[in-house]
Amino acid sequence: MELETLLLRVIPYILGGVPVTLQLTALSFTLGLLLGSLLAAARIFGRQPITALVTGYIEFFRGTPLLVQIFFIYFGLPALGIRFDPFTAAMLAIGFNSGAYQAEILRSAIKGIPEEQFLSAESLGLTTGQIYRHVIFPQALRIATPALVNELVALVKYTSLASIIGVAELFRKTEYMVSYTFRPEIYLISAAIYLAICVPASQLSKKLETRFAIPGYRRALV
Amino acid sequence: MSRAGYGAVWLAVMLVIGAVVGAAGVMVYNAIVPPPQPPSLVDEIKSRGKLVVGTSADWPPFEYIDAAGRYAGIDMVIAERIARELGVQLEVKDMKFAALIEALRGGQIDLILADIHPTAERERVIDFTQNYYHAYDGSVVVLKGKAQAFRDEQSLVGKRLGVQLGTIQEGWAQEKLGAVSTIVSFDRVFPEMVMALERGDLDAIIVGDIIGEVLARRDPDLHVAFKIGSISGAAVGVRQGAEDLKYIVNNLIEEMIKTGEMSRIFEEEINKWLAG
Repeated sequence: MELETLLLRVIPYILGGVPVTLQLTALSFTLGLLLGSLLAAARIFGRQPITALVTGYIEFFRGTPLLVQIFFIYFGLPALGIRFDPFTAAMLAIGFNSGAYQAEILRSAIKGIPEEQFLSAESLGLTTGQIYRHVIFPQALRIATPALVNELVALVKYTSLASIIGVAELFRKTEYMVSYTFRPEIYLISAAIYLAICVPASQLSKKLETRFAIPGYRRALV
Repeated sequence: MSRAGYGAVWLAVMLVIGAVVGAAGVMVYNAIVPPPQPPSLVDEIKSRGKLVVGTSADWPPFEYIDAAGRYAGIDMVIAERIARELGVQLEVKDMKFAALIEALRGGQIDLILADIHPTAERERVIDFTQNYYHAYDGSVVVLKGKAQAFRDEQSLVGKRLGVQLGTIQEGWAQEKLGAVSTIVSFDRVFPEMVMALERGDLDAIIVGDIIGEVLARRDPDLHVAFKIGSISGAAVGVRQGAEDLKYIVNNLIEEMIKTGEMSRIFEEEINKWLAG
């Protein structure tokens, strides 16, 4: 392939898929964060039937392949009269899936706060609500930050699965170009673009980690 | 019972109840609501004003994204023609080939046009129209002057052969002749591979059956020596039960083949792709 075709045609075309990939990532991450917060709260504070349901949800979404979930939402739900366009179906599937993981990240962050802090807070006369609001949550969010950024980076790559139902994101656009030019090396270009998105995100994670580190907690965070 | 044990039992019970309620819900739903089988798919297409065709735009020259970023290729022209016959707009929905059959069954698309070959397995889940073309797995194209020397697979032994990267012809050549002949892979059939043949750098090129025919027709120096593989053809995929749509598409295909419109489309689209 001539350098000219590569620079003028192939790369710009593939880059055209980046906004879709980023949109899909951002929307499904946000959905996952909302869902994950609710699920984590339900799992910690909820009573028995609720915790069992939440556990069932989390285990279901963590224990089945994301690809199957995407297929189910796009092809399975229409049988029940629920229809989504490919982008929405992929966004929901990835969001529901990420919600399960984010719930576990948040839950483990809350559980990571030592028991002594509850006891100290109680001894100061704080109510349970106050303890969570003022003592536990602010710290838990800081502890959860690196893992959440990690999840975000993972989602960037998971969005490539949306290509199977026809979302023309980065990977699907790469496939068009590979088939049009018969040059499998083009996959390397798309790998480089994914890398260019993910590496800064991991760097950001490191920065946030240092910035939000809780003084005196360094060892616990390593 | 311990707390953990209690929780596990609860979880199991809830999962079972959930599954039973879900399954019962689906059964009740199916019983109350008749399956979404409109009286006529053609009426539905006409009333919504567009025909939704599913394809997998990674298979030139049948369907691909052209230099302008539009859907192009033989199947896309045929899809356009079907939409015109129905008097509606065409909407192309692209997805991976593996997802097309599910999309057709689920009602996301009305037809599949993706160089899909009817097989017994596929016919169990969807219907097909008649084939709109038949072809072998590939054509062996040589210079007209040397045509006598190439009669069968054996005559390719020890020769220099050109194939296109990533095609079934490349796979065939590597498997059958990889050890005994020199196989050169090219990005494009035209102009590089054809020119190498005409210059004498190659003894033969192996390309798609119809592509070989088009090459030989437009260049008098070239000749299709023989075909490889077995014959098969592609048809239009239709949802089971959509007899009215299938009937219209079948008639149209028959008419297009009879009037020569179909071969003209193949020729034009292959030429366009070769020039791409």
